[in-house]
Amino acid sequence: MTNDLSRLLGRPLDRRAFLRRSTTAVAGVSLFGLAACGDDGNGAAPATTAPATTAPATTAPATTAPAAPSIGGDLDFMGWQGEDLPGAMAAFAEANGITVNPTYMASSDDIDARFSIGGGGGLDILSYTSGTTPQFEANERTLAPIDTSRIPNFENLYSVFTGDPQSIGLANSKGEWVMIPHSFGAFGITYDSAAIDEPQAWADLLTPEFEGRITMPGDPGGNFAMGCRLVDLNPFRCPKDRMEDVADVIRPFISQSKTIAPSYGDVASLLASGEVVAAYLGWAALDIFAVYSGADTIRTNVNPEEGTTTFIDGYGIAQGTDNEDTVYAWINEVLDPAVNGAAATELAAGATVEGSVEFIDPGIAALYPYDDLDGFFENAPAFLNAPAESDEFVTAGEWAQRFTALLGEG
Amino acid sequence: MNTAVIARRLRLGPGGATVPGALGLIVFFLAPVITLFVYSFLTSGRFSVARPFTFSNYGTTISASGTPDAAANSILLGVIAAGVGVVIGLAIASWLRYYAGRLQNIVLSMIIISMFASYLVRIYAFRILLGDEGAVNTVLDLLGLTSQPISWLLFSRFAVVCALTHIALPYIVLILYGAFRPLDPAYLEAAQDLGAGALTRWFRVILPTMAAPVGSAFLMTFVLTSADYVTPQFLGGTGQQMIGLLIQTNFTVAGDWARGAALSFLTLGAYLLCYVIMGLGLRIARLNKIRWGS
Repeated sequence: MTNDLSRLLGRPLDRRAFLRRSTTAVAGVSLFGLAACGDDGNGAAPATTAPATTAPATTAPATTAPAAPSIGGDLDFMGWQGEDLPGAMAAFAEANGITVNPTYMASSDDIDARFSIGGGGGLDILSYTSGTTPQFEANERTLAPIDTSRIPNFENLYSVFTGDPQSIGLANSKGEWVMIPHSFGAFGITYDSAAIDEPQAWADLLTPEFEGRITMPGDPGGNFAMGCRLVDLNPFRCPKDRMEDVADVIRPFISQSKTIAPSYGDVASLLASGEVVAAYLGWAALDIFAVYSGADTIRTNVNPEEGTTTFIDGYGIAQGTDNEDTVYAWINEVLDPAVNGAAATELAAGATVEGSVEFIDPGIAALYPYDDLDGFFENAPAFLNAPAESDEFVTAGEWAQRFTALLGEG
Repeated sequence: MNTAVIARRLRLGPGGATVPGALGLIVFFLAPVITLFVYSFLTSGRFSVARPFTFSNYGTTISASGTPDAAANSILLGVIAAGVGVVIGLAIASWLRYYAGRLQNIVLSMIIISMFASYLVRIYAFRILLGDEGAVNTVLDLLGLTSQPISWLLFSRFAVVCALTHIALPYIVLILYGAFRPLDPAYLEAAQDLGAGALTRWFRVILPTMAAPVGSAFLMTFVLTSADYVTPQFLGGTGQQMIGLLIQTNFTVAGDWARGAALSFLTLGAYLLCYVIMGLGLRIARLNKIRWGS
């Protein structure tokens, strides 16, 4: 066999021959990489058009008669930490033999990044913020259309989520549902109630009293949405020449901050440790996160005087899932009032289905006016992130670059 | 059976033993780096690249607001961390070589074991140490040395330099200790017998002969620390972006792979320039060929 290999190799490998073969191998691999990345036809090339404004369909067209559901097995999850609902869905998972394999993300962009490099294979269910949906649409391999007829509890959703799903990122530009909301929340001022009185306005955080005593998350999307809200712009349709207006609104909060927290969890950690007393762009779940860090005095004012903006989190189905029946069953279960209420408590978030309020912890239920959700969403509108591509409006990439530079200014 | 034996049996010649490692290097390092280099000349979409080829990524990256400040901050923090690390590392390595005696192996083991701790755990440990209510401020307060917490200890360049130095120190010590190994104490004793004091021995005997390894340790630490993007996020204050964070933002948030690749290669170019300058400096000072031992 040795002789065979030697023949195969031609002759004993000396340094010069080795270098020559290595160079050939590198050139070959590089050409392969170049060919792969240079594909400007299909592949990962982004869509160049923004979502159209077609009327949303309530159900995707059925193609074939559904097979008998086969529920159970591995459910590969990628999304925000906690939104795999290890508490609220524990009984359902156990009863159906479902093993959730979670991958937690630092931002919704992680999903985009993963699917763009072809790493989305194997995922079943995604849990993200609806504002990112138009960005995901640029990559057709990310989200599968959702057939709402396979979700009996869909009818439990509050009408605020079903009225115009496209405008809040629950449906794609074709009008197909691509996300089912399981919770929502409003950005607010998170503060240490043991250290300060409740700030009533965002501007309160800019007073000398708070200099070097606040923090804010380094989340480009959230900051853009809130910044746009404060200058009365739609982040999905922010003209390029208005980007500096948004930057100008955010800059004072950066200057006032002691540090920029790399994640929302870190915001809670900084509040719990007493390093800061308040956070710009906080949210109610941080109150709960802080409890895990040993502080039970962290509160969030989700109704600042200047107004705020709301994010909707929900489940999407990953293209190519190999456990679709389980994904549908999972989503349906989360829309059960009792489960949805428990989920809202677990996430310190708003519930999305009618009849769930009685199952929510009273303190968390009091965060949002369930008897007038339409009015609440008028004052705190849900947002779509900046588009992935646009010649007219600020894109997510442009803002991310600008925001990073803004943080560097201090 | 090791690769050398296999190579001999396969008659691959003297270089044959390096084939597995070289293949690994080609597939998992060289090919991705070359691919990334190609990316830097392509046109970026969001989380994608495509033709046509362009040189503009380099221009827009250099001229982008934020890049000069981040580069300056990276260089500043990298130089300070490397400088402090090398000074401390020299002291520790020297002590280990000449004075530690039977403690030598124990201390070396402790240094290596310290590298086992998670990077993030060590960063958070600095928060516990340096925070307003952290150990340092608490002790200072108990000793009556301060009336209120020193706020610049944490979320500052000081904290970032402390953490980066701490993280790089084991590598520095191991490099310098290895360099001290061939340095027989007899040379120092000879210098002492000829009337050289402690400082003279350090500056005229030890340091010239250690110039190359010290330079290597400095450069390695500089590269490691100036490219870091995690520590500044957790321990730095506002306005202290580093170049690594810009690269990360381009790749994972902005989805601008072409610009991220361009910035990566600009950084790589800067590091190579540092390497060349250091090599030339050592050569001009004739410190690059000094060898200890027989």
